[in-house]
Amino acid sequence: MKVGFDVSATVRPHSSGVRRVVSSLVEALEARGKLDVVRLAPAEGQGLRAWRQLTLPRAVRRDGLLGLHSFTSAFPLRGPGRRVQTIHELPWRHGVEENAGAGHRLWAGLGPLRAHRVVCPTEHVARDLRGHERPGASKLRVVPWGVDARFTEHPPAGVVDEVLLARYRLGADPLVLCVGSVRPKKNLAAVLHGAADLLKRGQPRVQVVILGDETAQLRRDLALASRLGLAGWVSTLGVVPEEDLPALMRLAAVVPVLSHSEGFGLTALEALACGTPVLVPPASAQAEVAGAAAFVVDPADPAAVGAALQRAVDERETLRYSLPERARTFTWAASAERIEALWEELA
Amino acid sequence: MTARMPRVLVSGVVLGQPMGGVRRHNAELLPRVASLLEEGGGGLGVLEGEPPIPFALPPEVERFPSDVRADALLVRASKEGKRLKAVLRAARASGRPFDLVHTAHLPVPTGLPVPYTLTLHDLRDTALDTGRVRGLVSRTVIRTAVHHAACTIAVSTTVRNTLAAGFAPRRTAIVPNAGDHLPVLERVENPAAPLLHVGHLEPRKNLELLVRALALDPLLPDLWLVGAPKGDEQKRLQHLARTLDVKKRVHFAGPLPDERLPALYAEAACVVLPSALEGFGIPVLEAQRARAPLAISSAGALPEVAGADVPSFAPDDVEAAVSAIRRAIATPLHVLDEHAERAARFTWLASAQLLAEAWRSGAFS
Repeated sequence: MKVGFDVSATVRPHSSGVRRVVSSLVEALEARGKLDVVRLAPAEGQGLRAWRQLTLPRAVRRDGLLGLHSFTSAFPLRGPGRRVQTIHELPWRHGVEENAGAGHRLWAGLGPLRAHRVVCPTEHVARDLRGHERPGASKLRVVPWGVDARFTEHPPAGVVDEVLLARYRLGADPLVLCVGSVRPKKNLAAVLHGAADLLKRGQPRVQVVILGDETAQLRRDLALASRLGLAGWVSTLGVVPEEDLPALMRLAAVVPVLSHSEGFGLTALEALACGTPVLVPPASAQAEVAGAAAFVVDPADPAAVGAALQRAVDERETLRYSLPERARTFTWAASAERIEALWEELA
Repeated sequence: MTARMPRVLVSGVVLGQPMGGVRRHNAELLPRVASLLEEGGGGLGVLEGEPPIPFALPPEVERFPSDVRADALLVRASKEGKRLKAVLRAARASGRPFDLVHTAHLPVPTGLPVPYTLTLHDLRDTALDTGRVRGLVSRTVIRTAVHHAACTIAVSTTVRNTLAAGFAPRRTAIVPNAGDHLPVLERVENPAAPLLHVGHLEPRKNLELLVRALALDPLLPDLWLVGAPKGDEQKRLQHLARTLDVKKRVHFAGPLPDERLPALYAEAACVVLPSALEGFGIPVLEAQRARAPLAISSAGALPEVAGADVPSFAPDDVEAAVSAIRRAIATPLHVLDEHAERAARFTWLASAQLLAEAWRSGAFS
């Protein structure tokens, strides 16, 4: 069964989460060898839209492909073969304006009409899609993403690369690690208000360490931190290399993932794989993925976030061993198996 | 692909020592980790010293007796390396080589032909005022050992943080102790129940503070000290108790076998741990599992192990200790239940799993 996979997200600007999904999932599919995987990406300088709508359908005919698998909501609307679309999240359903423009909404609407299958990573997103009450609900397939081996195996979970960490000059206070680019939807403010609540109560002292590019939102959040009296509590590390993430997560006392909207919450899962507690909002994709292993907290309630930070710090040592159990159930091989099953249906 | 588990040779020449946290750690972990290594295609060998290991090890553990004496440090340091290398050579010659040596005492023998990992239970010689020369020597010894270790294993985040701040380790892993080695008995309400301290009698345990607390507050229950005395600490405490006129309220029970401990925990009015330095503090978990009220000093890893809401005091503040003990005695039952639930999450099997992974990382990195 020969299937074309649109891996354009790995060569064109895209969020790090989606890039990781594409590269890890395609590698897992190739390693399993059940599908004949054909990687398709636009040539340098080629317009993405034209490539997707014109070049991709030609590739289906030329290479005799069963169809095309897109890892984004954009996919070829016409042409030979079967078409699979991926919807990562519907942020506008949760009041978030990023990736919520007319284009995104249009693609989300077109999927069930023009694609043969629509893949989403959680029941949370599936519910959002079904909520549209459009035809095509039967085309929906939930395929949860996986955790990369570097969070679990090399070195094994629990072992921290100190040479690497020494570069970051972190203090000894429990580390609240905020991962991912600082965009409004990430809701860093909720973490800061929670930390301010700890400050107000005097216990315990934590260091909030923020990863990611310097953005306008980061500047706004740092100004907020300063207003809240957290100047000595908050530091930024900028963009850190992907390979440094497991060590930082393993050292962290807690990783809050309190975003207003996530489609999956890979960060939460990766933290759990590292044996580190996570904070997630109720009824969110992150909460679904993390299950009973997470501390569920209302991000709008600073006292609750503060208490949850404190509890996570307090219980961190007792959870080091049990949390990775949850993450172990999510592997890229399992995701690949579901993708294979989906293409078998379409064959 | 996940690498197989390694074949590990543990240098156990000092494991003949009396019962305490370190022996408990090994007696509980080694049998469990031996099974995990076996299952993963590896294995465990132990170089024993004089006296030999007093606790049981499963038959699959290869035991290598030796004449290395635990107590004579300089002789031990010179002999231990030779014996380890001889065992490693013989194993290689027999076609079943060891991948890794593990040790938990200093100094670490030099020139080992395989990588080694090192467990540090605390950093007592660097943290306490041990005199300038001794402190400098031990800091150098620790630094050298840690720097060359493929992975340094700490029993708590507190120990890891001290290591990372001052000793430049290459890799660390945290393998906590646990508390599920003692059965838990029903709580017994006894108005005459004593305060209880379990642990060696030695200066770093700061028991003087408890004797002073009794003198400060005549209404505090009597104090039971369970553990083996080291040096002349018992005499010193007895003298202090006489001077402060609380001799009759301080009972030296000596070291007691494990079978006696559950009943003591079940009855204790409060377990008090005033230690000035603790890398972990296993009695914290023993007390919490038994739903005994607990008061701790705020030093070292005790607050980390006990959790934030256990009454605590600075190790040099007698008045704060009295107040914390009073608050601890009044701990509501539902809070004791919560602490028991938290403490139950530290298990020796989970720790053995973490140790096996740390060894895997040390052997094959």
